[in-house]
Amino acid sequence: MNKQFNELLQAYAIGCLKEENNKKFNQFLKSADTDFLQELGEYQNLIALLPSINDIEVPPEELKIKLMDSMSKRLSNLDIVLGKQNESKSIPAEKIIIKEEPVKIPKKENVKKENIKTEINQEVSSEKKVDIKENNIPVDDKIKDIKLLKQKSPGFVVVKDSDTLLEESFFTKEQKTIKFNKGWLAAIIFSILFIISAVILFIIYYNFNSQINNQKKQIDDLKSQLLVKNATQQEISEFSSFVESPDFKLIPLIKSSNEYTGNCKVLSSAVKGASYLYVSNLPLLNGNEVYKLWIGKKRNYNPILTFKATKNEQYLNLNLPELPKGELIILTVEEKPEVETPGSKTIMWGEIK
Amino acid sequence: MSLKDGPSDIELMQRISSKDLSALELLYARYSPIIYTLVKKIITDKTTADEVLIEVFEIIWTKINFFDFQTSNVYTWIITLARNKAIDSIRRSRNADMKSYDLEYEREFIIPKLSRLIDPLDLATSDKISPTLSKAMNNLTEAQKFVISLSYYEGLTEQEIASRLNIPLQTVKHKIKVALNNLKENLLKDNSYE
Repeated sequence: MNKQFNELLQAYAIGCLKEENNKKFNQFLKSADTDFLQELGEYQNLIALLPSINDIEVPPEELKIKLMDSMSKRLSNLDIVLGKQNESKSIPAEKIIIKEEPVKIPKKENVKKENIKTEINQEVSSEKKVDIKENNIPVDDKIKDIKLLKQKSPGFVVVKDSDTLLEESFFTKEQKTIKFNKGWLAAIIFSILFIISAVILFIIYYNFNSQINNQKKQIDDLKSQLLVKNATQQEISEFSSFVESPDFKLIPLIKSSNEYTGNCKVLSSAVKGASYLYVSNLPLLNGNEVYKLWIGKKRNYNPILTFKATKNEQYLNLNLPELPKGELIILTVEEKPEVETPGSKTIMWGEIK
Repeated sequence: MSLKDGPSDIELMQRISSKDLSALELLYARYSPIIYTLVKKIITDKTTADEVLIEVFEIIWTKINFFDFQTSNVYTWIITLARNKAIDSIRRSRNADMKSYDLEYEREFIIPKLSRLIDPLDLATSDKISPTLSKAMNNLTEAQKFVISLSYYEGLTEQEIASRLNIPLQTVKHKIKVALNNLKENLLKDNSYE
């Protein structure tokens, strides 16, 4: 095994192995023997020395500033994340204690100096005596604040009424939180959970619905494509049968003037009982002007088709099961679609033989 | 006080692993010139070279846990990391079909895997050895120097070198092996690399 990788050792050290061989080599390193690892280490050091023989170039100062700036941001982001985690862990439920402790209070009117049992929601570390003297806020003001708080916060619970101790618990400015009664808290949590569940359900429903709608749309698209394909297939099949019929006639229309470009042919089969006008490259007409196809002889013509040309090739159904022999077909341009006799603009003609 | 005085490389790396930004700053001050020189020799575009230099230190900062503190060889780890990163950058610029650069790719192909038994090496030793190495390089044949340059600085694989020089793959393998053996032997003739 070593022998095989011995052959790759120098190439691995200089970094010119193919990715797959490099991967295999990395795997092999985990079980390589001492001699092999020592030799590899020698080559890795040797190759790492190569850059030192170049003329060393100091990078611009701005790169250092850029790097340090980027790293500081990363670090502060990390602090924020860690900070949040600590915050959420700061007062675990099991650390909520009920304690009884002496409180030193200066002699002052309306302030009682006694040990009072109260429920305080705070960290274990806060089990120390608090001297209100050290606090700069006047005691009376604090009492007012606490009373106000009691009025405004129904969840704030005092087991025994003691404003003095309350002010201590409130104003020591250590990490303390007001304890809400369990029912109140449960209601809030329940509401939040309910809202979150509703939002999640809505998102799931919305996504599911969108997916179904998308699928329906795709199915509809496919159906239409299929219908178009089927229709086209049928048309092709019918047209082939029409063209291959034994009495199929093709009457190319001859241009009477060079003013109009384009190509027109009449296709007909009495056996199939159908006839069509093939049209291509006829000029597009303006306004009310239309093309009209007529059939007849000796200046007695009947209109059989009125149409506007398009840019595409067209096969227009003439609704004539059979074309009378010896008659002429003429194509004219008319200023109004409703004319009953051909005008002077005959652009093509053909004879039915 | 020179940049090589002060805390050792390994101390700096330990401090970096504790997210000490000042340690990264010191390491940058110490290693950025040689890394920048290497990166610029590999990547001719200055903007890209600047970016790669910063990215190398970002990897050091974020992937410090991949450094094996038992090896005590910060120098080779950092130089190899910088070389791998720069080569990856030029390979990507000339080959759009490369694997996407994700954590797994970075772990496999960018972050160096040094031998567990590698000897310690630092910048001061490298500076000391540099003239001897230069001499040892000059003693190689032109062909040997060329394959080293193609593989180390241009990042060509053995197959790519064979195609470039229009010679058989086995010949390329042999030439790389012999070139590095000779370089090592030439260097060992001098006592400074001990």
